[in-house]
Amino acid sequence: MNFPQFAYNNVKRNARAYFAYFLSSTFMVMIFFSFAVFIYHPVILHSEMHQMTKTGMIAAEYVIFIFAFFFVLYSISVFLKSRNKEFGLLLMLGAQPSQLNRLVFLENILIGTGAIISGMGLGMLLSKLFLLLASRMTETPELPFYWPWGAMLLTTGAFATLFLVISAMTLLFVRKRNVLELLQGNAKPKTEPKASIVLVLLGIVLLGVGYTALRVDTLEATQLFLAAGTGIAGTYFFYSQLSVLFMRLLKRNRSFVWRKTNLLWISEMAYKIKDNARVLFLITVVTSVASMSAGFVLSIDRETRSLYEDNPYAFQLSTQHPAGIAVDEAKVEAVLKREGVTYEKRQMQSLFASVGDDQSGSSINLIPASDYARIAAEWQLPSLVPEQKGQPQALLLYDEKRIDHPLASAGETLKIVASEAEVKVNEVAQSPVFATLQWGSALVVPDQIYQAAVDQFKRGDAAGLARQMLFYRVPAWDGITPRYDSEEARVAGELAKLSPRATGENRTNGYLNIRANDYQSYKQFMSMLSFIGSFVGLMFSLSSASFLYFKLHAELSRDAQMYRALSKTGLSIGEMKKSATLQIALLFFLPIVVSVIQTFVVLSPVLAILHIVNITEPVLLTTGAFLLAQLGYFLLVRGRYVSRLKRVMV
Amino acid sequence: MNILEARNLNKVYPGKVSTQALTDIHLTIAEGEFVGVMGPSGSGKTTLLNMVSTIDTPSSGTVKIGGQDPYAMSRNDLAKFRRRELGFVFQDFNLLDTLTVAENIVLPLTLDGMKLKEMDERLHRIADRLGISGILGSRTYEISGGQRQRTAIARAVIAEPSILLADEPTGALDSNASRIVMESMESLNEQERTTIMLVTHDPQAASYCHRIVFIKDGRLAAEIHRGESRQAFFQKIIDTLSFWGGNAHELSSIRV
Repeated sequence: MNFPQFAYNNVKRNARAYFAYFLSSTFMVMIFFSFAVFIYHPVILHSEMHQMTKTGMIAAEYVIFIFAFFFVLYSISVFLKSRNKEFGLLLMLGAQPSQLNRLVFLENILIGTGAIISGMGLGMLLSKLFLLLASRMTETPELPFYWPWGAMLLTTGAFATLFLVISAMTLLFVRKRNVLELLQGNAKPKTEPKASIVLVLLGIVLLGVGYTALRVDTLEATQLFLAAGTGIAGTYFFYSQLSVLFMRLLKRNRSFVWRKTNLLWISEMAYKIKDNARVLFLITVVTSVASMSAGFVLSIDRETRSLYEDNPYAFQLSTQHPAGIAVDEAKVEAVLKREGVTYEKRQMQSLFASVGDDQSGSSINLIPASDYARIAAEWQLPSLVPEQKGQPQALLLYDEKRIDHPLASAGETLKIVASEAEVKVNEVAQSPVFATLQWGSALVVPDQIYQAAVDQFKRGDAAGLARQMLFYRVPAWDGITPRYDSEEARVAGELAKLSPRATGENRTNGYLNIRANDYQSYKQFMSMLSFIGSFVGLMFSLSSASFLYFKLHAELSRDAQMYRALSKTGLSIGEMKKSATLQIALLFFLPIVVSVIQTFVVLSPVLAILHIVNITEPVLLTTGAFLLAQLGYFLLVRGRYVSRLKRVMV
Repeated sequence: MNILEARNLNKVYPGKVSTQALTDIHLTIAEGEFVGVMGPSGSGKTTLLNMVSTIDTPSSGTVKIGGQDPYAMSRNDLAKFRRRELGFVFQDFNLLDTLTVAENIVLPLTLDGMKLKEMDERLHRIADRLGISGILGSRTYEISGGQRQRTAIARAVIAEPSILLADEPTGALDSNASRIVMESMESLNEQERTTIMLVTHDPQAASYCHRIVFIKDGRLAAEIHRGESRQAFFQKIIDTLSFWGGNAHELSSIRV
């Protein structure tokens, strides 16, 4: 038997001891791979998604990888600790330390290779299911299964590096211990956890920097990364230092601590939090990332809905065709008549033209005042007095979600480049209805000024874009969400046949904008995103719960010994349950509470850029889901833990 | 008044080969008495102690502590009974690493919900008596074996139990620490009139008792009483051990 054979047999015949380590590694490979399959999916890659969404998904993949690194590192340290006795024995039998290192290294490579292969195999199955379920749930048939060569390459490369690095790091774990220490294992008492003042302050400073970085002037990518970095590091110090300090301060309050089972669980807790600082830290980061992304998606979703709800027009018809809108109008209205829909319509024309002075110019939609007067009330906008003191007046409309600053402020004068006419901006206004047009900004000008600009444009003297528009309002559909079985959705489907998307040929001259269809497709995309988000989140929360479970399990024998001795001196089962439950509950729920806070802190400035203010509900919804899942695991783990302890109580 | 009354105790461990661990044991301990139980390994000392300490149930016979039958109690009442009426001292101390010496000592009182002021009073009185006042703030791994055992004794008696049960308290200690621990127990017995039942292998430790019962193969084998001199009593113990157990040398060296 040569050395590699020894290592191989060691793994093979000791399968049970290696299994947990192998399983957790496989699990991480699986998650990473499934996610990679998704983000490298050709449909996703070529979809017209917002760049931010794509960046977000790649960032999530990085986070998964970092998480995987710590997860694997952590499980190998637990795994090696449980084998201390074996190493001690080998050293006693005369194995050289270098041989021991080689053994651990070889074992790691073996397990790593196995984990990568089986993880990708399982990930293949999972991602097929994942894509299938995603399209089924969101009624999009668009995510077919494909051979994810890119994802495979990425996963293999990333995890091969990871296992090599971790194998090299494990050499440090084993090196310094002497034989006696190894043989004794974990028997020696643990010293009291102490907090270092410098590190406590560093932790506070880091958290503070993260907090302020998100809140000083406009948020940019560098600040976001700074906040992420300091926030994550600060969270680590929160668990490893601040919590220890807090426990020490708490223990000074004897009238609280020296009461009933408090003494028992609080003193145990100080050790448990310190011991589990890394685990708690990982869970917090993962939960935070998951709830941030889910909260983000949910908030955007809410925004989408308001885009629909604020739009009073079921259909909009617009054309740039010089022949006019009449042909399209007849087609659309024929369909509406056939379907028996009563409607009101508003006509409007606009010209996309340059305005501004000699130095700086900008293009804006011009709207004639007479057309505007018909719809101003419906758009929830103020009306315009075309002339004041002989000077033509104008009304500037803008959408703060699309442009940062309105072109001009009230009282300024704007010049229309084509006709050289000058108007004074009487008022600057915005409304949610205007926002649904997705125009950015528009300028309402007196009719004669508008006409002059159009004449210039028609003569070809000025660049521009003249449009005619028809807005259809169906009073019967107001305020009802167009479910797929609603009348609006049905009529929308009929009308959609007129537009090029359905047939590939253009049966209308202009563009037909159907509120219900826009809403549906937007909603589909969103529900797909949130579905995938919650799927990933669920996997994370599952893995973090099993983290805690393994950790508790590893400590069970020590705890059992302690509770047995205590029960001899009169600790009742009820008191044991109370003490154990409190400890487990803290371990399970502390990270969730911390990540709720983190999610609020991070999401509110980020979403403020997108002008989304109300984030409480989405965040509570997502973290609530996490809490619920965690509650389930908690009850399960607590039940098993307590029943194991009950057996040792006398 | 008798604190402990054990009558007709029998314990059979069932199984393919059933073991009769105890046969017809009668043991009475009066208030303020310091009684030792000795016997070779496997003689049933620990089984007897487990019966008395309500950790194990006898197959037949009765145990009464302070007139109460612990085996008739519910598990919760039993836990309270142990906390208030029984004090335990173990060979391996069973102190919690996570607590300081003071916290270890008051733990039974906190579980009982006692007022902080009264806990403090009791703590300082007992710590003074056992000579561990100076280490109350230390951790259990920072103090010597003898100090640990005295901490355990303080924990056992702080609730003022009717009987202190000690299982090989000197088993893990060197001779000097053993002497200090036994002197502490003796002084508790003399000054506070604490009733003590001591199970031990160690003739030196046993020589602090008033009376020693010997068990062999699950039966009471002999009983000796202490006269005036501890030295003479020690000799008597050695003689009895060699008579009942064969080789005195072999017995006294066991320190498991």
